[in-house]
Amino acid sequence: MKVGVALGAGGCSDDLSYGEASIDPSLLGLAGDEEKCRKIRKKYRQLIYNVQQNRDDLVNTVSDSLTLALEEADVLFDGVSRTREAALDAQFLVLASDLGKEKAKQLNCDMSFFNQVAFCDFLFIFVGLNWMEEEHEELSGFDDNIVLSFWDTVQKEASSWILQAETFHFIFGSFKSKPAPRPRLEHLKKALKMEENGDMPAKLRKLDLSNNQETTEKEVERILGLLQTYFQKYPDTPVSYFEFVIDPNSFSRTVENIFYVSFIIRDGF
Amino acid sequence: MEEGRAERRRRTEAPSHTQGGPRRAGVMTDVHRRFLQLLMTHGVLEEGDVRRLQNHCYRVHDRSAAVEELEDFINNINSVLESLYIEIKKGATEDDGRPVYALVNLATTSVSKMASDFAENELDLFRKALELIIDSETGFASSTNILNLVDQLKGKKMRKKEAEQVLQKFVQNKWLIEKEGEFTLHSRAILEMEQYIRETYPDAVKICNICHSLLIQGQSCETCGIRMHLPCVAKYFQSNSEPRCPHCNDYWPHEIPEVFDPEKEREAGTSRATKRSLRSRQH
Repeated sequence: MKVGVALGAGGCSDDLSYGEASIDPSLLGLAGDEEKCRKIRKKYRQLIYNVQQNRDDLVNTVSDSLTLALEEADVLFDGVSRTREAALDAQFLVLASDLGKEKAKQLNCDMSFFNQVAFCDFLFIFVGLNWMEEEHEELSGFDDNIVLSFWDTVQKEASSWILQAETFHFIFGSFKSKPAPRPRLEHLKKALKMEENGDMPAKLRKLDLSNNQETTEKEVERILGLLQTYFQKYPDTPVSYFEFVIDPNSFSRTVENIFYVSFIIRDGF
Repeated sequence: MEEGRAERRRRTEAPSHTQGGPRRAGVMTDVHRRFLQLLMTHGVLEEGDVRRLQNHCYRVHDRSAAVEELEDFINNINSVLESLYIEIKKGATEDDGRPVYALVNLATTSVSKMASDFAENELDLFRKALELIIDSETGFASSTNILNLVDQLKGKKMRKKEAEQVLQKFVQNKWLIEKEGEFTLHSRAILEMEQYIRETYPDAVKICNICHSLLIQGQSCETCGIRMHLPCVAKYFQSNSEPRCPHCNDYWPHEIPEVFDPEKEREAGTSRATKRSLRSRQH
């Protein structure tokens, strides 16, 4: 055993600059391992090749050849100590898992077989709409009447399966909290409410700290303020929208104005 | 549970606002049950439709029996529902005086607070709309005024667009009536919320001078300010060439409407929309 190792070491010593007879024990270990590793790598490559060749077989037949291959790789892995072999092992595992996934997909298909296209065809036949093959593409170009009759038929059939009585609908008693007692109010004139609501939303906006669109908000607020001052000065005249938003000298400013006023309109001030 | 019992005790001590006198609990047959379920689906129905419904229920379950008088039929059902604080109330529409029947809830219990028809902000919108309607002069609240209050609603923030849809939902479920962009209470809402309105808005509530019940839409005398429902006006001033205010005896300035006549209605339309809607429901 030692003689063989020494010979091997002698062979390797040409590469190394050691001319001595004394051989580093780790180098001895490495040389023996080198042979083993080469063997392992060869076996892995063979395994990978085999599995790739018999791919179809492995996936489609009900055999455990994939399991056997995996077991073989497991045994080989016991001898692996270096990254080169480990990389081959990883490559094999990727291959095996892909095959496993394909096998699993096949399995699912067989268990719950639902053909959507066939179901849709049956549905149309049930509803009484006769379809020619070519008309499958033109679903969108159909009358409302046909659509309504479709849903009517489905409803008639479905409602006999869903026997549910209507519940009692009411409003009284569903208020969660009692309304606050109102102070005695004089007869209010129902004038345009813009002025009254103007203050509260402006205050809410200032408290809204999480808003990061500060410039937009500020602008909208500014414009709201302008509108309010206008209304305070001339209480009953409406503002012409165009006069308000158009800037005769700048198109971009006009667009900005329209944008800010749209916020005010959306929120209903 | 405790709260429910306390409220029930309070309800029984207060003067009863259930219609009809005290009754002994009646017996419900399948005819009554079917009728009740159908009325529950519709919520509110006119008297003609109610009679047709009753006949239909008899035909389905008990062809041989004689059709009970509608009033006794309904009182029978009400006596059974009394313990649940639900009642079938009879009222009239405010614009033309048609008699209607509605199934209403009478008490606020811990169970009723869990009603999930409408979300909290939707109910608050209804409450605000109710307040505006009561405060208004004509009984109508404009949609703009209602929508302006959307910011003050409790619960999840609601956009104006959503609020419009919620108002339409109320109209579809017959809680509000919409006319030319203005909203008023449906007779279903009036029947159910009358007690609530009287308790919550005692100073703003308007009462009809003739029938002494809640008034939302009606005519008012310009001198003394008393109000009357349109059908009440029609009945009071029926065949009176010189209508005078019952309170101040001043000349009554408004046009006197016609008294509602169910016979004329039946002649007018044999295939009314309501008939179609009844048949399309699942019976």
